[in-house]
Amino acid sequence: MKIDEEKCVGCGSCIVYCPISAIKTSDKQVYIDQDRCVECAVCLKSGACKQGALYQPELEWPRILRSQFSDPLVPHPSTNIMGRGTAEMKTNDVTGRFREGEVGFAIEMGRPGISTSFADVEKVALALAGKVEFESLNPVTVLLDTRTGRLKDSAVRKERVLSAIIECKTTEDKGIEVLNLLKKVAEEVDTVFSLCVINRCRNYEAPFKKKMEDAGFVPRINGKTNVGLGRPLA
Amino acid sequence: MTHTHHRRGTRESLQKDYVVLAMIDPAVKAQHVYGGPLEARVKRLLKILGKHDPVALAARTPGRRLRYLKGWKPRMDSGIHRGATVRDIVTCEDIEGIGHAVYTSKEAVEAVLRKVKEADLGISIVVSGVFDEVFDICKKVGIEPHTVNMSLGTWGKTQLLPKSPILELCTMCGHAMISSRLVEAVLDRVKKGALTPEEAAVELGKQCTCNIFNTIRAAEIIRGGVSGN
Repeated sequence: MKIDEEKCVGCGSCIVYCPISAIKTSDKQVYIDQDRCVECAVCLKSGACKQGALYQPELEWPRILRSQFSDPLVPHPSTNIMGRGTAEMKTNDVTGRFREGEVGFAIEMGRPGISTSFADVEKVALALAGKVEFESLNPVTVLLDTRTGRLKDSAVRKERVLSAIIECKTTEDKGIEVLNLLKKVAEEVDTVFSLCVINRCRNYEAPFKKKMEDAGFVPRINGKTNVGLGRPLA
Repeated sequence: MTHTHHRRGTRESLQKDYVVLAMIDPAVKAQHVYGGPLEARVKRLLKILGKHDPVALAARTPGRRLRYLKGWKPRMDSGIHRGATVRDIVTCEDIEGIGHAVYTSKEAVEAVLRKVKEADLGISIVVSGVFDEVFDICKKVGIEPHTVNMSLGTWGKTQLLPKSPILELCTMCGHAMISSRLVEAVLDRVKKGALTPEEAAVELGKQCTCNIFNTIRAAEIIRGGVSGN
């Protein structure tokens, strides 16, 4: 996002709308820190600027990733899904993406509202590579060499996004090992991540929940339930 | 897209917050042909969602999202954010894609799931909320949960996160479209009497373009935040 200096009157009305505080003031001039801006377009969509000074320039690779990963109205070209670009367990009753005996992880880097660099995304992917199966229909996975976890294009590393979801799975017996890996790498990243654990239900129970609790990983009381009404059922 | 996940708050507060989301996976064509044309099934679904007093209801049309949010008046429109009525959404002819709704009561979700089950639309349905409440609803309706997505919370540099109640309000938009500074600004305006908690809730909810924000719950949190409770 950019500000047309000719139109901007320096009122600062747009500042509070920026989720990552990239809009700043200096000597009564309002400007956008281009390194920090994640191209979410929240400021523009809000209509806060009555002068029409905010504008979205055309973005090129790799900066265009900022918009794809930060603006939920922009579909990801790799999956054609808006938001963060993945269906994860929401359609699992139809896709069978996560099967009985498997446990899925969605590691949403930068969430909630802190943002992340792809350098930090890569750190977590490197820690997981070889231990998990990365989800192929996921916009982070297409940027990775899934064998090593390294970004295919090193120019991506410096890009910042509001959040990006690393999605992967393993078997239930290896799930705790993955959680311990994530616990370790969490100390090395310069951001936060929100962690989802996905499990098929059996008789109104998620079998992996008990294993997690026994290992000291206690899930929160609320979450998402696919209620199994999709057809044909996988 | 885990945007309805990781909502924060006390059990008492979360018990008034359910998101019902319908989704067709673009990667699975089989589901598109189940039970007739998809458009007709989505319209039926939206009618069901709209009938049980949603706090929020949303659907997609070509080039636009139709968004109903309880408390949103036409004078509150700003930028690209335009409010719609429940009627606008359930009677819209050119709906494309999927829909979702937010409810404050378990009874409403139970009624919705009962009707969706009867309609046998073949569309995947996900309910976000307190697990034991959602499982209880499933038992009453006679359906078995297929898959769960549990939250292990936030890891890493958690010292960067805003404090309560700002975090509770911000996390009702999973795509982080609601900035913590905007929350601080509206709380300040409520304290000064320039906005009611309900108006402040709509100002925040408008930024959540997916429209999964719960304005009733938000107004309660804002009221508590302003009074220091």
